[in-house]
Amino acid sequence: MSKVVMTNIEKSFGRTHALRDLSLTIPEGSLISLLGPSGCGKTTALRILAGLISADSGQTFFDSIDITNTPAASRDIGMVFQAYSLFPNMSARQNVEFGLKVRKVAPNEIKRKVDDILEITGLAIHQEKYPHQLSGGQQQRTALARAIVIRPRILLLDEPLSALDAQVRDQLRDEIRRVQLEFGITTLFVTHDQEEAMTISDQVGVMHQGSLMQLDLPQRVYDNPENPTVARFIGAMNEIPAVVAGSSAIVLGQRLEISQKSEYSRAVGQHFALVRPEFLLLDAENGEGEEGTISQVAFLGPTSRIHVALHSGTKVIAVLPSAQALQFSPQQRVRVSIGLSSVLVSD
Amino acid sequence: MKYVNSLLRGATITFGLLFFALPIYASSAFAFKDREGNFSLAPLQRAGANEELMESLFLTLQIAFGTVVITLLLLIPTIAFLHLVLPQARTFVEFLTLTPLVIPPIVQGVGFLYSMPTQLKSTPNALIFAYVILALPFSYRAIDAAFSTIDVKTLFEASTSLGANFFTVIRKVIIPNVMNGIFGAMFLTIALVLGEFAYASLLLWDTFPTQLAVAGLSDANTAVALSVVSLVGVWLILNGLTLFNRRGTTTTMGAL
Repeated sequence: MSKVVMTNIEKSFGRTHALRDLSLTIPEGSLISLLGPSGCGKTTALRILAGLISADSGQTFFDSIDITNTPAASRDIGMVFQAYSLFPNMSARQNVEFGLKVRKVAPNEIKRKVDDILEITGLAIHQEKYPHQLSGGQQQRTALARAIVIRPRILLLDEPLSALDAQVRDQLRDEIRRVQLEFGITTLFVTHDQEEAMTISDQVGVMHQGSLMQLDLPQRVYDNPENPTVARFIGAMNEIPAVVAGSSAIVLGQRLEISQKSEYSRAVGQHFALVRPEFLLLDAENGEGEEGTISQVAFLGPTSRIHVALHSGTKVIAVLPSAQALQFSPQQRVRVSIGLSSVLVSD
Repeated sequence: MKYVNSLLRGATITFGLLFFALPIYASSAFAFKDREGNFSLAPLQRAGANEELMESLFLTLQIAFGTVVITLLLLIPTIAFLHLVLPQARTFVEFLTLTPLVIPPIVQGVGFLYSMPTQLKSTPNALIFAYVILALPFSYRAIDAAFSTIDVKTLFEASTSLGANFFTVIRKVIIPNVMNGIFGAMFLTIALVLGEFAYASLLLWDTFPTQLAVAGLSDANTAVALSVVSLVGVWLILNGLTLFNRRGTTTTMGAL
């Protein structure tokens, strides 16, 4: 288990700038997720850390040891890939044994370690099966066991759940976290799935166009996005027209402070306030805010999602506890306001 | 519609089988039947007694072995490299491997004579290099097709991340998964060497096919019998190896 540090990493593919001045620290034993849309550079960062590609500039350290130029085979990493990567000519057990045999571990030690990991990952009964005889979930679990059995300094997970169906994905996601905590392995998890990242990570890094926009606790990334880009990417977000006046903005008829993290041009133009659905308030009476008509009420269990067409033409979504949402129905007129004192403003 | 489809499929398979089996059957019938129409192994006995023919057979098998070894040593790393590092060059290399089919043997033969080092030119081993190139259109395709059925890049990266070096990856992960293609390439290469006449004749070496042509002038039954036996023999051996490999894959392969 190691502390991993990447500093000022730059990488281009032809004219495409894949990574821009990326600096990232993964504390020993923690799990960090890199989250972002396709092409944001998250997989490139992971592959540079694995040594599968080299950075144009910048350095990578494992426990203060510079491994920037160390080949992948000597980095002592475990990796699980998005594509099924088990060796087709080997059984599940032989796949798990591979890394230990390459390291010339004693046969009795290999047997003990492999038995242990197969038990922990629930693969003992499938150990003699070949990859084509295993389900997608079992294959990825075997790949996880194969990566962990060598006790790597860092575990790299490159969207390992994306090819699985929803139920298996949830199970394996929880299993990855359980095993990671049990072994205390420093882990980098790359995904485009917000729920995955939020659920199992100690910290979440949001990437956009090759840059790390924010690295923070999952809760903080959601509640206090560093900038409008992060705010738009994480969770649902209403974009409501705002009139900027000095350090405040008028949104839905309310004067609200503009958050310091806002990014907007000072020139006169169209601005938007970014407001999460749970911070929109609906009032059936003549209260504060702008008037609109409910177009849809969707029951989601503990919460309900209410779609409102404001009379100004903007469409917004509010999320309310289902018990509270009972009083609203389609075609009903309501007033919509914001339950915040400051808002993020963007162009 | 289903009935028509299965009928068409059956007809195609039957036609394919007949296309390959009929000439072999006809040759066998011609070679192994005596004047009374009874089955006879006399042509093979006569061949065994023909010293020059047997010498040429051993020489040709030696050349076939050398050709297979060099073909595999050349093609496996090259195709692995193309799949891993330069996939965009695959079409160009595939085109290059086709050139032996379009350049006339006389041109290739003269080219070999001029390009071979003198020491090599004076031995029949010179033919090995000629046959490696001559077999390229078939051997390259067989191995490349096998590589295309696996995710070479991911398997390579997975094994590298587990600490394996390039040679371990090739030996333990890549080769076992492309064995069918390798056996296919071996079969085609050996079959080509056992039947190649033009080069050996041009370069004045007495190989099996050239001696077979000479023997055929006086004893056609023996020549045809040997052709059939060599073709079917190679086919049986390589199919046996393929079956053995397949069984190994599900039992013992992967043990390091």
